[in-house]
Amino acid sequence: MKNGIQFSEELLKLLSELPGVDFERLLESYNTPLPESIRINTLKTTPSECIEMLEENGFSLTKIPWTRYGYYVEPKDRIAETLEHMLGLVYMQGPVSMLVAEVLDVKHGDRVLDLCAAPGSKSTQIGQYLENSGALVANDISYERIKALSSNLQRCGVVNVIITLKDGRMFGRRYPDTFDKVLVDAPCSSLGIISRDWSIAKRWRGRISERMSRLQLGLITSGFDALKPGGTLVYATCTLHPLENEWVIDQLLERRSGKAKLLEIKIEGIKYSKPIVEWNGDFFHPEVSKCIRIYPYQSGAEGFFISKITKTWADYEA
Amino acid sequence: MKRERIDKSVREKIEQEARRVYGIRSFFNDYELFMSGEGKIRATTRETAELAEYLKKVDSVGVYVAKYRRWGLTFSIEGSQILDGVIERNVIELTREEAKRWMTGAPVELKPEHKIEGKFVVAKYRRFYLGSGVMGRDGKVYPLIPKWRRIPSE
Ligand SMILES: C[S@@+](CC[C@H](N)C(=O)[O-])C[C@H]1O[C@@H](n2cnc3c(N)ncnc32)[C@H](O)[C@@H]1O
Repeated sequence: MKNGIQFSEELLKLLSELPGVDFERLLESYNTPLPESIRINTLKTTPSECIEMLEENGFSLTKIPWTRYGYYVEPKDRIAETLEHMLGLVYMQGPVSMLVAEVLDVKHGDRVLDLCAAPGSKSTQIGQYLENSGALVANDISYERIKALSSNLQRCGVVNVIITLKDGRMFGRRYPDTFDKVLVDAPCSSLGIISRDWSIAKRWRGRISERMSRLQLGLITSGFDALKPGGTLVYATCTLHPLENEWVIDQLLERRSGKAKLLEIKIEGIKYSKPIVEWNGDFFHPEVSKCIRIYPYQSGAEGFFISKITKTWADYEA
Repeated sequence: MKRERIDKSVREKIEQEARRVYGIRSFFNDYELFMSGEGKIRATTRETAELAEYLKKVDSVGVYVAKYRRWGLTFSIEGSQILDGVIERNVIELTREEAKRWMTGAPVELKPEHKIEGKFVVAKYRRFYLGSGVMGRDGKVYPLIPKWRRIPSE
C-alpha cells in the first residue's frame, strides 16, 4: 500500500527499475486527481464565443499551453451536463491525449485512419482539424465502444467520417498505401493513468504487458502498411512499460527495415523525457531515441509514450 | 448499418417537403445523402462517400441529419446546424433555460412571437440550432432529442 493505492509487487519492482523515472514523484502523481479539461470544438463554435458562454455560466477556463483548443476547467464534475457539452461545442478530453493528435499534424484534405478510435477523443479532434475536408476512417474492434465513438462523432458534427468495426490488424493487408496519416492509439496496460483508476495498479502483471506488446506490434505494422509512402503514423500509448512502447517501435523498424523512419517530435509548453534505450540488457534501434515519454508528474495529468514515424519511398523508387 | 444512396426522385420529394415546411431552398446541396433505415438520413462529403465505396464493409458514414417518414420531415441537432442560414420558417428562439429544458427532452411552451404553421418546428438558442420538435395538442412543443443526448433532468 502506497498512499492508499495498492500496487502489485511486480508493478512496484517495474516502476522502481524504469531508467530515467523519478519513482517517488511518480507514486505521488498517482495519488493526485487528474485535472478536468475540455477541447473547444471549432467545427461548431469559436474559442471566444464558447469561453464567453461558459464563463457566463460560472466556469473558469485556463488555456493548456501545448494544444491549440484545450482548456482546464473549474469547477469540476459539472461540464458534462451543460448545454455546451450536449450541443457538441466542447469535448471532455485529457490534456496529454490532446497532444497526441497535435503530433499527428493533420493537414486539410488528408485521408486519415484512426485504427483504435473508440470512444473518439482523438477522432473528434482529428475531425476538427480536417474541417470536413479529406476523410477520416475511425475504426475499433469493440462493438460496445463503437456506440460511444459514433455518438461522440455525431455530437461533434464530424461529417467526413467513416466508422468501421474491424480488427485493426487487417487494414494493412486489405488497404495498403491508402492513408496520408495513421494514428495507432493502442490498447495498453494504462500505467500512465493510474490516478484515474487505482485498480490498474493492483491488477497489473508482467504478462499483461507481454501480451499487449504482441497485439500492439500487430496493430502498428498494419497501420504502417496502410500508410501512403511519405505519410505519417503516430503510435501512442498511455503506459510506461518499454515492452509496449520502445520495443514495439524497435520491432517495427526491424520488420519494415529501410521503409520505416522515425521523425523528431517538436512540442512546446510541456516537460518530457527521453525514451528508454536499453531494457533487460538489449539495446533498441538507435532511431528509437526520437520517441518521447511524458510522465504524469511532468504533465500534471496523464502519462503517455508518443512516437512519430514516416514511410519512405524506398520500394517505390526504381 | 444499412446504407443506400438516396436516389434523385426521393431526394426531390424530401426537398419539396423541406421547402414546404421549413422554407428551405438549399437542402444539403454540398452533401451526399444516404438512407440508413427507419427513414433516417445521413449526410457526408463526396470524398468520404467515395472512400466508403472503396473500403466496402463499413459500419456508418457521416452524421445523422434528418428523418423522413410519411408523417413528416424532422432534423437532428447536427442536421439543423448544417442547415444554418437556410431554415426560413417554423423556427422558435429559446432562452438558455428553455434550451436546457429542451435538451432534457421536456416540452417547451410556445410564445406569442413564435409564428408556427403546421406540426413541426426547429428550435434555436443563440446561433445554435437544437433540432426538430413536434407540436402537441396542448400547444407545447415536444423536442425529438434522442435519449443518449439528453441532459438529465434534476
Ligand atoms: C486507448 S483506447 C483508444 C482511445 C481512443 N483513441 C480515444 O482517443 O478516444 C484503445 C482502443 O483499442 C481498441 N482495440 C483493441 N484491440 C483492437 C484491435 N485488434 N483492433 C482495433 N481496435 C482495437 C479498444 O477497443 C479500445 O477502444
